[in-house]
This record gives sequence, structure tokens and C-alpha cells, in this order.
Amino acid sequence: MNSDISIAIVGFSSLETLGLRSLFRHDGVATECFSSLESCSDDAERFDGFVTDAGSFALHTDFFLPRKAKLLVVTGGHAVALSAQPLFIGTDAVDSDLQACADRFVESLRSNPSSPAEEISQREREVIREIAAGKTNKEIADTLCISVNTVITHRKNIASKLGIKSASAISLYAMMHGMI
Amino acid sequence: MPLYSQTSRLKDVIFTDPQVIPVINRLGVSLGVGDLSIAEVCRRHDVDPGFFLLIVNTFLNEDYFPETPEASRWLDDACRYLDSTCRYYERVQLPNIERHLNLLIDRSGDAGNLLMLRTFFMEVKTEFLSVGSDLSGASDVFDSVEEKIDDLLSFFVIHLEGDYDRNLCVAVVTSIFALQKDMRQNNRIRRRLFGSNSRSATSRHLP
Repeated sequence: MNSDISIAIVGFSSLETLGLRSLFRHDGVATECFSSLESCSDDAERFDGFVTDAGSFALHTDFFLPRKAKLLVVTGGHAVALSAQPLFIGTDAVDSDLQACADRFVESLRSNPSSPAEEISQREREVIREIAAGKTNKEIADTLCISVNTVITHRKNIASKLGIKSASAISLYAMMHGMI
Repeated sequence: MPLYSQTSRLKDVIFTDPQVIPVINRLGVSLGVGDLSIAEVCRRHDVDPGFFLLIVNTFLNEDYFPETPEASRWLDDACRYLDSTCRYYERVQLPNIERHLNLLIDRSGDAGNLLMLRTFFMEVKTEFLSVGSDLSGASDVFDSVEEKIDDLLSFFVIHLEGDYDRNLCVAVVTSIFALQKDMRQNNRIRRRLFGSNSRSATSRHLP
């Protein structure tokens, strides 16, 4: 069967992975498992969603925060957060809550197209951080060892992708997405 | 879009382009315009019909602005109009957005990034108020505020997150759109009349 949703399960032991896979037996959903983010990050754009543990999430916020709308984080304890971004679920939650969370996650992946944050390149992300730090185009160019014209091009691309232009708005965006 | 003339019925202008209502209010004309032509309405309210048409046509047509000698006849009137426009933003539109935004945050279960958007809105409001009472203000500040209003709208339209009250969100976004449209058109009028240094130009012309 062709799958319409592809989920990467990242950072778990084999036994935990088996358990997580059993939660995602929905029609049209395929899962792939990776022992660490490094083993899947080069090919990350082909995944519609990610499931990871709290430790990997904390270690790789640069990668996960821009993708928080397509992320499920597995933590310890009983807590389940079904309306947050990212979704959180505790390993000790009751079975019905675990399945409800997996269902909610798949539903959100089906209803949410990719967010603008995911379309921002690594270089544009760096420019956003420098803008948020209050630097001028010249200072950004010196810091990143690129020309001022290249900085201006990056700023145009950022404005085009995110719909925001002012330095204050870009700083706010950086805060919202954990870039600073 | 065709230009309106002194013989156009003002009610037809309003039915076609209701966003012109706050503009004619600031020109001294209230609703309840009957079936009168623009010339007749202006006579009743002691408004120069030439200036009335300059503002209304320029507001409604992005590409329109009369030749400079004609427009320059109304510099004093234009200063007064831009001054009343600033006061309208300060006393009506910005408080209206703030009220709706506060209500939206209060009534949204998970405020998501709304609290941050309110912080950004308050920054825009403060920047505007820093020159808003200074007649038509410094041009670069108005340009900056206009850009940030665009950004604020983008945050709502593109980046809004959380479980929010949709009806109240419509009220907030609609009021920001109204301010954006009004501000963009009036900034254009100010730039065309006074160039880039509107503050010095207005200070010369106001009584």
C-alpha cells in the first residue's frame, strides 16, 4: 500500500521502537526508525512527522523547534499534552491515552501542510539570528563572511518565505521558533 | 477604477467603497448623506469639494494623484486632514485593535503565540504614538510603522498558532487590515504632497 504520511522515529531502543510502531498502524502511515538524529537529518525533508525522546529533543532544538508542528516528544511520567506544539506524551500514560495521542498526531500531520519555518535554509536561519541580535547588514556580512549584497538577498528570501520584513518582526519570529 | 467627480452621488461612493467612510468622517462629513452629490454634501459641510475629491480619489485609486500645481492649492487642508488621520489612528483604530486583541487572548484557551503578538503590537503602537501627536510626523517613522503593521498581519495570517477564538480573531485581523489599508493610502498622500520630509513641510503650512 502507498503511504501518504511518513514518520521518522528517532533516538529510541529497539524495544521502545517496537512499541511506538504499534501505535502508528493507521492506513497510509509508514514509519522508519533511526537510532539518532544524525542518521536521518540529511534526508529529513522527506518525512512528514518526527517522534523523538526528550533527550534528543533537548539536544537538537535547532532541528526540532522549526518542525514543532510535526513533532511528538515522548517523555517520562503520565502526562499527555494533546493541544500543545509539539505534542508531548508520557511513557507511563494509560494505553488509551497513548493511542489517542498517536491518532491526534497523525490527524495533525494530515491537516497541516509544511510550515514556512521548514522552508528556511540553514544560512537564512543564521541571518535571522544576526538580525535578531540587532546587527546591520554590514555587520552580518562581516560575521558570516559574505558580501552585503548576499545578506540583502537572504533578507529578501526571508521576507518572501515568512511574509515579514522589519527587524523587530524577524526577532519576534526567531524567539517564537527557538532560534535565539 | 473610475474617478469620482463633483456630480457623483456620495451614497454611491460609500456603497461601492465602504472603506472610504472613515476618510469622509475625517474630512468633516458624517453618514446620513441622503441622495446628494459630492458638491452638495461639501457645500452643506463647508468642505472644499476639490480637496474632498483629491483625498477620496487618491485614497481609492493607487495610481492616481493630480498634478502638483493643482494639489499644492490644498496644502493647509491636507495638513489638517493628515493631522486628524493621525488622531483617528491614535484614539480609535489602535485602541480598537488592542481591545479586540486583549479579548482574544482572554478568551483563547491556549493563547499560543498571541501574547508575543500583543507585545509586538504594543511596540508598533508605541512607535506610532511617539510621533502621532506631532501632526503628520516623521516620514521614516510612518514608513516603519506601516511595514510593521504588514508584518503583524503576516504573523496572524501565516504564523498563528494555538487554540484561539476564531470569531474574535476575525475581529482583530479585520481591524488590522482596515488600519493597514488606511495607513498605506494616507502615507502615499503625505509622500506625494510633502515628499520625504513631511514634518518640516507640515510645520510650515499649519496655522
